[in-house]
Amino acid sequence: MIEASNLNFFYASAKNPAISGITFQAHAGETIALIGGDNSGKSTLLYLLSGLAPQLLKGERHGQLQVAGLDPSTAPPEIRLRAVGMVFANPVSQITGICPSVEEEIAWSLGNLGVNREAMHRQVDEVIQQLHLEEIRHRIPWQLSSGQQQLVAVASALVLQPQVLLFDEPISSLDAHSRKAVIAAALDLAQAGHTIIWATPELESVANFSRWIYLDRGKIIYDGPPNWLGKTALPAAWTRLAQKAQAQGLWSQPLPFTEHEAAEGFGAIIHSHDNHKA
Amino acid sequence: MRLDTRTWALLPFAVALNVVMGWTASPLPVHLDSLGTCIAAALAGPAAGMLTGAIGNIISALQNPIWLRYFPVAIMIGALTGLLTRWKMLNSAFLAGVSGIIIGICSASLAAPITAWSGGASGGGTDLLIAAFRELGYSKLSACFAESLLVDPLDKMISCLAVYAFLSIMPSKMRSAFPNGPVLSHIQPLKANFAANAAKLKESATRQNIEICSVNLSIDVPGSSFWHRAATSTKFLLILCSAIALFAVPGWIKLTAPQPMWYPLPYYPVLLASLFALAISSGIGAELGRLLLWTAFPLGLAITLINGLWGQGDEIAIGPLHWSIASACQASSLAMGITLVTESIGLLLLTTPIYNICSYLERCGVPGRINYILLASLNLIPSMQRRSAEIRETQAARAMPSGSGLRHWLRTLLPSLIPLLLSAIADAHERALTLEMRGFSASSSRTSWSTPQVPSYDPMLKAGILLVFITIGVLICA
Repeated sequence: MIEASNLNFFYASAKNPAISGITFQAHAGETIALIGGDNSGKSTLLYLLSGLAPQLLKGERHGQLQVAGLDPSTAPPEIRLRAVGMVFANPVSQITGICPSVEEEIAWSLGNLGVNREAMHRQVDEVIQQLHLEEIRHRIPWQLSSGQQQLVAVASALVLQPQVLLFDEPISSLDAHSRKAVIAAALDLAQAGHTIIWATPELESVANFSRWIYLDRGKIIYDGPPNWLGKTALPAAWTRLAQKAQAQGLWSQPLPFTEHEAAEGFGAIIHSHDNHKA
Repeated sequence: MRLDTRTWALLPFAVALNVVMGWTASPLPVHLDSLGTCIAAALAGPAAGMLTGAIGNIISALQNPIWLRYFPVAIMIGALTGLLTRWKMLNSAFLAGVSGIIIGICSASLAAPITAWSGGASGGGTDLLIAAFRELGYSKLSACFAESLLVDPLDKMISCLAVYAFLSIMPSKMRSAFPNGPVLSHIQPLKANFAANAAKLKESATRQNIEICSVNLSIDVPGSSFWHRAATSTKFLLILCSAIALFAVPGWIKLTAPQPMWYPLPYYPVLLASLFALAISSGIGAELGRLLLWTAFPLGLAITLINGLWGQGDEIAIGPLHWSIASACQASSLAMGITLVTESIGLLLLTTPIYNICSYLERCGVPGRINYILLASLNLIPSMQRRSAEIRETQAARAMPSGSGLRHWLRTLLPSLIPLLLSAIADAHERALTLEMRGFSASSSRTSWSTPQVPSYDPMLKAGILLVFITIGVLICA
């Protein structure tokens, strides 16, 4: 689905590349976390995958890139947006502000591509059902909560039926309940066959993702199963707790990255302690 | 006209800035209500400036339809600012001041004939200046030009200086992303002491996004009357007929045999009363009355008084005043015609949500991107106003001097304005990314979610409107 080979990108009038030597592949249905701090190159990589760079964000790209069989830097919007969609960090800036209802907000992308009315209604209905937005379909988008707005943004990207969905720190401004809803929506979409790439500086949101790619100063420093590399990203609360337990000699297994692993690990410690007491 | 998505995303913020600045109180007779136009033109060129001016004027007209007459002036300001920027006339404070004066003189030169031709009054406080100049013996056109010259160059000079200050503080990476970036890369930085303050201003431009609020500038009154349910095209037909009655009939009358000086004065009240009866039957009589009281009535009164007191022709003495009956009748006729057009526009705006008006315009061929700017601007205005107030409160909490008067206004203008502009540009950048990923730049023809239902009586309603206006037109001209 995605083939990137020795990708470099220089923003206009920048002396140093924002990313360099990026090589990776992604397949349909994969959930990939792009992890790194500020200026690590996560957003730049997503902009390249979506075609925003260099089409809108001017700069020079070197290397090879194919997303769903096409080069996003040269494909026209009508074709590119059917291959790749993107959700950004700020829910408010993703609401156009010109559509009086959620269903029209979602349909706006289809209208821009000239989709006929019948197909438009059908695709919007499908997406609303898929993301469980029935209750809010007639509501005014700018009166929704941030979490609901972010789900509408996901729907607006999904309605174009892209094969790849990119998320650029999509839950950074949401509360805990809304975060869970957006993460769950992304995982459901992966199960439906979409390739999900999710940029984040913290690990808790991507605990259930199958593959983690760490970026540091524009280069890939790790690409594999979930793993914690130290200072490059904030680990989940349960991982930090296990670290402290590890430091006290209580935790001897690999560090947990999902809640389930943490629960199992701590359960084993408590069970072992009870047995010892007995 | 090919603008990139980043520019399209900027324009609603620029339009909203025009409107918000126009509402902001100032001790000077200037309002900086072209500031957004100048910023859009400086960053993205003449076309962006013209669009901003045009849409800003239309939005102002939603509150006061009389402002539509200055539509060409708003476009001209955007075009001229864009051209001056390309000629590097905003690259220093001195050149920016000169540019402002040039733009002000040009806008006065275009606004004056419009004001003179449409009655010789503006309907606002500056009519006192026009009256004073008429008393000094100035002709109608000269008096309007003199009044504009007192105000416009100062307003545009302050606007251009504010734009220069903002552009010089703006991060170069942000500035270079816009079409005029290469030209503005040579902009002179501000002096050292001000630049130090400017760094603090950048810090204070927190990344609080300008949120979207509900549209509260749309003045429509919900209802289910037959006029509410009439097609938008029918309402536009009414405006067209009123405009023809205003402009074409007096011209036709002048071509025919001489008529009494009060002609066609009696016929306008018939039309005005008919439309007001329509408003009352639709349940919007009070709202239309308020709209006319605040817009057409002051202008009509000013036009009649100024032309009556300083017009040409036979005069009668009323105490110390000399009243020209012929001029007063002509002016009254014009005032009633303007009121008629205002009334018909009010009948559209008060019974049709702005979203439906835009949908109709799009079906008529107006590009969807133009409608995007109009609707997005309306949504941004209330939140930009609130954000502006929050910034002023923040500055006050940081011990910025409080007070009133001209000196205070000048000292606090930039510290209040620059954080607002920086956060708006940052928000516009985020919106541009979203618009691009939603197919905004696709070249396909847009399709819409739905078409409104037209009631079965609508063709008869259209025929009725035409019949009334044609009958009265025939009676006038016969």
